[in-house]
Amino acid sequence: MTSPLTGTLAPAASGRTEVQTIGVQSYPVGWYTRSNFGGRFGAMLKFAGWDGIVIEGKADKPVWVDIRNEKVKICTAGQLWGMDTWTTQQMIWGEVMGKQIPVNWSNLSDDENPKRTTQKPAVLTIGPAGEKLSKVACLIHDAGNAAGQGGFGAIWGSKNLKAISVIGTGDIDVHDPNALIGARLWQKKNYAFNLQRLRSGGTMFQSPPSPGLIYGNPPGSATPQIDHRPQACVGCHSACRARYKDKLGNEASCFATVFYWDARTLDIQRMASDLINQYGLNAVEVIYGLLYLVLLNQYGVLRSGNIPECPLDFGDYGSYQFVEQFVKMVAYGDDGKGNNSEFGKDISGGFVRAADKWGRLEEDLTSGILMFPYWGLPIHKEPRAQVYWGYGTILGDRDINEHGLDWLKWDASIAKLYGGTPMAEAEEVVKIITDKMEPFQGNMSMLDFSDENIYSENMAMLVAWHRYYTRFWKQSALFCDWRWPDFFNQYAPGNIGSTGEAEPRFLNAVTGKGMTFLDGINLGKKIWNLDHAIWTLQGRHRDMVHFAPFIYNQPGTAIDVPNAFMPGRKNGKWDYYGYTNRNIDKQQFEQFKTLFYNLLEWDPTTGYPTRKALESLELKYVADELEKSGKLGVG
Amino acid sequence: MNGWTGKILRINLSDRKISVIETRQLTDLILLMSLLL
Repeated sequence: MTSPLTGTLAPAASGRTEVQTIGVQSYPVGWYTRSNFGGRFGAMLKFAGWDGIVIEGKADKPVWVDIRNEKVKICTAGQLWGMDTWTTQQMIWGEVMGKQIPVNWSNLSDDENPKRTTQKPAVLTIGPAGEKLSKVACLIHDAGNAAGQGGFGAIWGSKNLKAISVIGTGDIDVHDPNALIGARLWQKKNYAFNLQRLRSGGTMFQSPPSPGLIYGNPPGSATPQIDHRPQACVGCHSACRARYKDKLGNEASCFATVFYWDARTLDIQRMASDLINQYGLNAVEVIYGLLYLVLLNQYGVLRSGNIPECPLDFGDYGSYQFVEQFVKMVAYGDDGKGNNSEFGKDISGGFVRAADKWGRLEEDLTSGILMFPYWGLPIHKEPRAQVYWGYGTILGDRDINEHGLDWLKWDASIAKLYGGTPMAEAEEVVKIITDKMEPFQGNMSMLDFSDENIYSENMAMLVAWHRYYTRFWKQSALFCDWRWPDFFNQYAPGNIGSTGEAEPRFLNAVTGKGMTFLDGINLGKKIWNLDHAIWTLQGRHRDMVHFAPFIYNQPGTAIDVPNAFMPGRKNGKWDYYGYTNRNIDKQQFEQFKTLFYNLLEWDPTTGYPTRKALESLELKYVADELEKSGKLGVG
Repeated sequence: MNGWTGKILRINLSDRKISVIETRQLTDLILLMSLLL
């Protein structure tokens, strides 16, 4: 699904495409879930005249979908089936554009009215992992844009759908083009990076074009010294990817680059990141899955108990041959060399399911060597420090993967680590952010991460706000997670970023709807309630909402910084304090859940949504559906 | 609505039927999600 902003000039809000389905990656239930990816697919879909695509049913043999403006064909996949994601795209480009690759001007029309373009089709595809129904298979577009979590690749594979290609020559009706251009220039002048006075920005709106790489061991310690050029999604002011002269690691970013951190050379690590994009695998699952196997091997239990014979030679760990075999095992569900392997089949279904089959799940989720703290999904940010991340995930369907507050930790933690100074005092930053958090604005305690506050109603408000903001502004209006919200901005007067003003300004310029920022937050609340109702129909109950044991019984670990320094208060004084070295208290987390359910007017006994909550959001039909299923909350 | 065409492509792979969901009321993803309930 696209957004009204897709394909327009809205900065870092024009290139994302949202996908949704009943997922297969989460455990023990494949929750209704979502993901989104960048690039040019959504824009091209809009240029072809479509807002979105609904895919139903299953083809009787492998197919791909060919969209050229209004013309849509379902084509036999033939030789595409079995190909990796990159080869598939190249073959489809050739099929659609004939000998016009590289494209000069081509005409998509077969009548007297030419529809010319210099573009090649945007293709979204699965690799061998999706074809083989690996539960950790993803969708890939261009070199490295992935709808990573959820198992979308397996969903397409189960439908015998190899790829969707789209090329369009149309345009997008914009309500007020002058207002849109004016908003873009306003944003650029006041909030975007300025080459004359660059500031570091990481994933903040103000970040200059810089690839989001975390190569090396420890992550981020190595950078390819290869000529490259920035690569951005459609309409983005701040490219976060790169294409390299030696063609390794093109468009790879974040988790895809840290995969295989024990590679013997940086080039092998870059080749490993290419492998997961080519075979179509979720990067974070295979990172922590491989780490799990390494630890099992180190502890001498990999070849014992109920674990089938492992084909991997850990004496060769760090080599390209090792990682290629591992990736193929997960993708094909075999020994990585074309032979049957029960072990390969097990890990192809995801590492938590494998551990369960091997009789190791409880022990390894208690010791923490299986670092999958929620819904069978791997750890990302440290949930014992960045509790809003962990709470949002366990109360939802997937690792939230929302970085809007992550820079808070990065900036202060890196400053502490290297003896520098954070961008601003904790109290100033907290005030700027919380002033923007309608309808809870002004409650600075929402960003107090002290031990005493992380189970409070303040934290329930933060989690709720974050769910509402992201559900609408990021996952419906499709403002990019790596550049929005613009809370704190060193270029802006008073360091006050554009969030709150900018999002509706762009949306209204395009749609003419006259929405306010709070309107979007309230729509996000509606979507979040609808999501929760779907999970309730799938069997969600508050008793299921808990972390893996290691989150309760062990202190946090150095996931991305040695210690996560975040705002907090001690004796009434704001500062940045290190919060990694703590565990989540199980009993107090249960109390937090009650506060959260009460805040949302859900039934605190079951966690089910109530009629009152749903009808207040114009979701009476959802309340009726829940009632018919005996899943409507009391209250 | 400006920004969107109001046309969603509906592809049924089982019977190879291609149709169009047309709406001018689509203001967010809620309608699409409710179709899947």
